[in-house]
Amino acid sequence: MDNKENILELQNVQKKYKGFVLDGITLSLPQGYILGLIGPNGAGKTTTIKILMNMVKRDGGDVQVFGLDPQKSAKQIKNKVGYLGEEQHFYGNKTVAWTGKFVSTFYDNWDTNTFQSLLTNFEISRTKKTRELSKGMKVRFSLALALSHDPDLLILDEPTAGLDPVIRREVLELLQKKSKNEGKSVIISSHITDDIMRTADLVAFLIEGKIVLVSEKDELLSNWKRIHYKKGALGSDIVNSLTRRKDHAFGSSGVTEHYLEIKESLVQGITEGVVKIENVNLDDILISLVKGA
Amino acid sequence: MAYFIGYLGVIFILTAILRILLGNENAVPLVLISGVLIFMMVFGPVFFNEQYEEKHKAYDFLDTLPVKASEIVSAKFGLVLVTVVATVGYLLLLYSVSNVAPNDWNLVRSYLLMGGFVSLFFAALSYIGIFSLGYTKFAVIVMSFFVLLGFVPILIMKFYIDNMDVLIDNILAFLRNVNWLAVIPLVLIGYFGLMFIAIKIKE
Repeated sequence: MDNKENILELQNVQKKYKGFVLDGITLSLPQGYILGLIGPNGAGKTTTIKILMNMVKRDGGDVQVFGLDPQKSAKQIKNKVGYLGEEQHFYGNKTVAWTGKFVSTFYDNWDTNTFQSLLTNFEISRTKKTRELSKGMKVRFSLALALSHDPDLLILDEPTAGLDPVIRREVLELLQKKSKNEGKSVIISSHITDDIMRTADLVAFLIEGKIVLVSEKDELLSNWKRIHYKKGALGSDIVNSLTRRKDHAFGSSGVTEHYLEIKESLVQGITEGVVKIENVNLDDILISLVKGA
Repeated sequence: MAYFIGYLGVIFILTAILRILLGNENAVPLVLISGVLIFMMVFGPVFFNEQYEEKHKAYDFLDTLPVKASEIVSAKFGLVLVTVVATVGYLLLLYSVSNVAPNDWNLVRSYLLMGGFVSLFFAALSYIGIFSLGYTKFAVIVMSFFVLLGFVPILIMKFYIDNMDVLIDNILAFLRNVNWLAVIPLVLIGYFGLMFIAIKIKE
């Protein structure tokens, strides 16, 4: 990762609800990167995102977005952030065009041409009332609103939930384009790990209110592997370090999170055909972390 | 702006109808109705707007935009204040050019101003209640309050039936003698104080 300036920093952020604690979240996001926040439902992803947007007040810790504290400078921060919540709320009896005009009055940097072209690209009728929009249309409309003031940071909470695969792919490609071509930073939360797999540069796993793992995605996928092995093919130290161990017809298998470290010691087994390495996906890693939590 | 023009239009039509029905000579009953009208015209839109905001989860929507809670709350309080000033001002103007007996003018003025102040006070308390409890819960409380308020005249009649004339004379004397130049700043300070509390709750 280059030494780019952090656009977002959270230090030991805490929030307590009845039956839920967000416990010392520490995260950072460099400019131009996409951070995927992965976790099961109720892990604290939405709370973390709402703290960034000052929609929820934190109980402790420090948050800086563009070097500003959301609790003190929410207006300045929101002016530079495009936000897409997991639910979209509009004035249902107002049209798409009216809503766009209404939202435009709040931003310093609103570009009507961008908004109009996004509506055209997303095939959203300007004369439709917002309550008449389908779930997918609402997400695309929200995205058009979130992008029309040229935000430096996009914060997206479960943006693809309820979308059909075609629209989902469109949304994810748009995010990648914004990040790679325009240097925009993106934080995207999802329990659909496939979305994060496709888009994110960095991945943070949030489980039961705690960040249990943060890593560059490629590094993570290089280190986490499933190892299939026949009895006696691996040393006991390696076998004991594996998680999610299973016995099956071929022999046994388990997941390692230190593949690059133990790679050398596996070469002989691989050559002899008694050890096989399988790539894991973010789902597997999430499940391993949840089971281990 | 459209809301405001529409609002003044309604006030104008209603008072014009009342004047035609009651005539110039019956200024006092007309003023009594006007006072209630001020209250209804301020209180009604506050509740109508907040019901609309809750139905569309508008505060969640506004929360995503670069606007401070203090700006939203002060805009709402500002609109109520402008509405009250415009309504009371319009009605005062209307009665000042009517054939109100000089002896009754103080009473007319006091009653209209009182109507404006009560409206301001209730609107401010309503916002505080709605921001604290949510519209639905607060609406139930307000409805219960107005039902209970219906018993007040009965209680007054029960305890003051022999002294009704004295009670009414005292109230009228109070209204005739109020120093509004002193009261108006106090009312405004109180109103902005309540606005400050509403902002703190909304934040």
